Amino acid sequence: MNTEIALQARNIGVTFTVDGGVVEAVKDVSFTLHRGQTIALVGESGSGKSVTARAIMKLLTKRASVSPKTEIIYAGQNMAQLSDRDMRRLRGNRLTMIFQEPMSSLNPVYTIGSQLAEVLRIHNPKMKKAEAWARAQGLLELVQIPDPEARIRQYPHQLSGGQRQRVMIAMALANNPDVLIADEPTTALDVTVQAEILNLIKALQAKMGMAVILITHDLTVVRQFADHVYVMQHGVVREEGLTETIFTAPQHPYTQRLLGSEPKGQANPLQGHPETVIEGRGVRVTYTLRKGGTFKGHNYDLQAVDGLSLALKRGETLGIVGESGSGKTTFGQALLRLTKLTQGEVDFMGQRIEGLDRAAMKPFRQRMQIVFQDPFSSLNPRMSVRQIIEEGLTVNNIGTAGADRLERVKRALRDAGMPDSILSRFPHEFSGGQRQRLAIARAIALEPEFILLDEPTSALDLSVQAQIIDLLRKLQAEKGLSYLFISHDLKVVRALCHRVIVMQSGKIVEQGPVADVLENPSTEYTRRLVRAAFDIAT
Amino acid sequence: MSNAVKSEAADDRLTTVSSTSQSYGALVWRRFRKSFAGMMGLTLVAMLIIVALFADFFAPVQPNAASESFSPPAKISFFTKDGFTLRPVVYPIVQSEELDPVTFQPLMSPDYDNPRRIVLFAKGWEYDFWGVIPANRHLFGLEDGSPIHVLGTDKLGRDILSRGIVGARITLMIALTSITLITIIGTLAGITSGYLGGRFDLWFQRFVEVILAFPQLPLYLALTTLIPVTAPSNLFLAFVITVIVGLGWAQLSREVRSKTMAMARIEYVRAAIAVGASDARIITRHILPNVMSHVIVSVTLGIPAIILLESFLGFLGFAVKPPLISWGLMLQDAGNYGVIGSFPWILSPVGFVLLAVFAFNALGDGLRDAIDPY
Repeated sequence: MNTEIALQARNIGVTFTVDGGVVEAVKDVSFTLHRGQTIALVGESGSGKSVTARAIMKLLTKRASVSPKTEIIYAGQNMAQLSDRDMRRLRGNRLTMIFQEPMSSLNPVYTIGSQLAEVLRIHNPKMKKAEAWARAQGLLELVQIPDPEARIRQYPHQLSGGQRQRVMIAMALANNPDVLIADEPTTALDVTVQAEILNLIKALQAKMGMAVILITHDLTVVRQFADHVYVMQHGVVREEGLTETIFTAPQHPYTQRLLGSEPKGQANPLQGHPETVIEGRGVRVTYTLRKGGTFKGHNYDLQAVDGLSLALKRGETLGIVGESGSGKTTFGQALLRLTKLTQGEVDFMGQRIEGLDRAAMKPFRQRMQIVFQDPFSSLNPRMSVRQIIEEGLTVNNIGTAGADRLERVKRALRDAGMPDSILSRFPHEFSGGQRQRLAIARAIALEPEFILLDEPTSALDLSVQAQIIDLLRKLQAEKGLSYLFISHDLKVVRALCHRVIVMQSGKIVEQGPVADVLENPSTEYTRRLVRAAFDIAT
Repeated sequence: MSNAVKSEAADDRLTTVSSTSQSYGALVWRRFRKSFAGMMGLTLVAMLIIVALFADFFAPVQPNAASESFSPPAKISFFTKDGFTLRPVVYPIVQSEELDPVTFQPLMSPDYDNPRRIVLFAKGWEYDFWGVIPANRHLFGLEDGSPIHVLGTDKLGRDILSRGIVGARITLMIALTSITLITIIGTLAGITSGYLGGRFDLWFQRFVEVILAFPQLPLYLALTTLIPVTAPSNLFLAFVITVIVGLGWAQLSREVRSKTMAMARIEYVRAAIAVGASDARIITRHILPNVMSHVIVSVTLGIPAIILLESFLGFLGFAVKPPLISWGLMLQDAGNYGVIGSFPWILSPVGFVLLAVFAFNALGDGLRDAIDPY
């Protein structure tokens, strides 16, 4: 490793003014970045890692103020003291940044070629337009976009998420920067694409000798890509050290807890021969889409779910995994009759339900529940916790009177690990993990037999995710629940499921007991998913 | 498990931030209070409504009583012959001995010998308080009970300020009644169309488009001429409101429909379906409360448009018939260049309209910023 220092930060401090006070988002964060080195800022949401990166780039909002002690030394000058004008000369040129969301970082009305050429010409005003375009094409080749001559004239919406992130990287590398800050560069991408992007960054780093600050919450990524790790919590660096040291011998209790919260354990084995709770046979969901204009267009069918079958036993957890767009959510919601089935049969506790209308479904509703992925949109912001959880009880006339219902609401809250003193509070007062507990409380208040869990942990921090998995496992053991668990994260699936179904483009490509599928995947697709989850660099 | 929950929330950086639970209303109010324009709008709107409700008390002169036509605004003076006084007076305008050298008409000039004191809660013209309690007190007036024309008089010698105050009643009544009906019809139609979707939505939206495509002004004029001139003024008023509502609900229903369609796809609505809630419950408990914030804002911003429309139609003589008084009707007198040139105070109803429109717009702006506190 090179010993030349690329960037040194001392005592970065950032405070935000908010309604009712001041929040110290980052306190005294210091680090040293050598040329060609990758350091990782790791932490859960709200730990201040992105704020630190933005403070370096001076991209903070007006409500933030950087403390006067902050020193960011680059090329012998303190960037914290630089004027906006001088900073503009460095930003996008010597220091560059790539963001989490590749769709919103590119301007949709310009071709990617013109956006790349613009970045080049801003910092090299003498460069000719043709020259800039030629260089832009070279950059697209560098980031391994297939067929760069054609792609350069395309618009951002014509590229996939992974390709857009490659364009962002090309843009960041356009002027051979000394420092690249990658703020969760792969979080918005499919797991299989994630590995490609990170490998690309690593290869380019070796080629160009730049230093990289990698900001992420994903410990697998850190272990594979970072040389030095800074673990952040509540705006403070709790621990720093070489990657191997941190992972093998963490000193600070927070680091230990973070490392310990990787999903582990496995589902409790099934006892005896339990009955089948829900069974789908030949379930097909077809969307009719339209291609072309009003007069020349024609309709075509998209098979979102292509004749799938499954059977779920009492007390069992069945995982459905696949990339985004593989039809796993549609399949799950079709079984719950929340999405219209085009064809197929669904049995719930031996009764056929696929032909029932909303009213006829009502008696079944309390016995089958759902927990959604995004705990922010699944709770009505205008209803109190009590109203949210009580709704199902009121609708289904469960409980004899108000007092009895209240008791059930409190019990559901306690089961979900929340205190029952929060009844009159509103969803916005809770964190993501707490909201997901509320959503689980809403589901279990009805005492269902079957719950569809639609990526319930993917919007949550790692340590919170571990708590939710523990909670789900505990509830299953206590109440004999059956789960259909939809996820793209095989680590969580391994920790929670008995069996797993792997889906691709609306079809089942592989299924079987979790251990078999994950250890001996029989298709290339499954192998890719497994690799992405367990060892990202290969 | 509850330990874990605590540690999730425990973040020592947040100790300075108030963490007490607040309802939606409290949050909106907290944000709203910070907006200067919004608070000013709220104050003005409150004052306007109070003035309209107690118009007889605030109006110093009987609004239909005639005196000297086109008499200029009274000059309020703090000086008498004895020098400065803290109690303001007005001097009656009387014919003096002198004649105009050109027209030989007697000159009008203030009579400095007879100052009339302005007093609060003066006795003046008699009215029935809200049509029930007879009263004769007014906010201010002259000590001796003679009329005071703070903003002058119109061509029939009626006091402009008093007419403006009493006219606020009809103008605000038209605006508030129409907007209430527009809100009810527009919201119901929008939610139904957006939530049911499908074929009903398709055809209903074509109907809405037809209404939106109507050239509004010619239609107002054509429809109002349908009413016989001899019709009672209340009937006429009702008809004006009907026309405003009939054309006004479509825009709101469009907005509510699009909000509803977005809302119906949000997961909490799916979650409600999953617990077995009926359509009626989903609409009233989940969609309506979340659409209401948008509706409230477009209502406050819709009121000024109706006030302006009323003043315009009134100016053309199509909105309100005498003896009712509205700001638009008052402006009808100002439709003559010669009159405006000689008696500019006749334009003061423009000031009332301006004030009301500004007040509701400022209130609406403040609300729009505050209404989504999350």
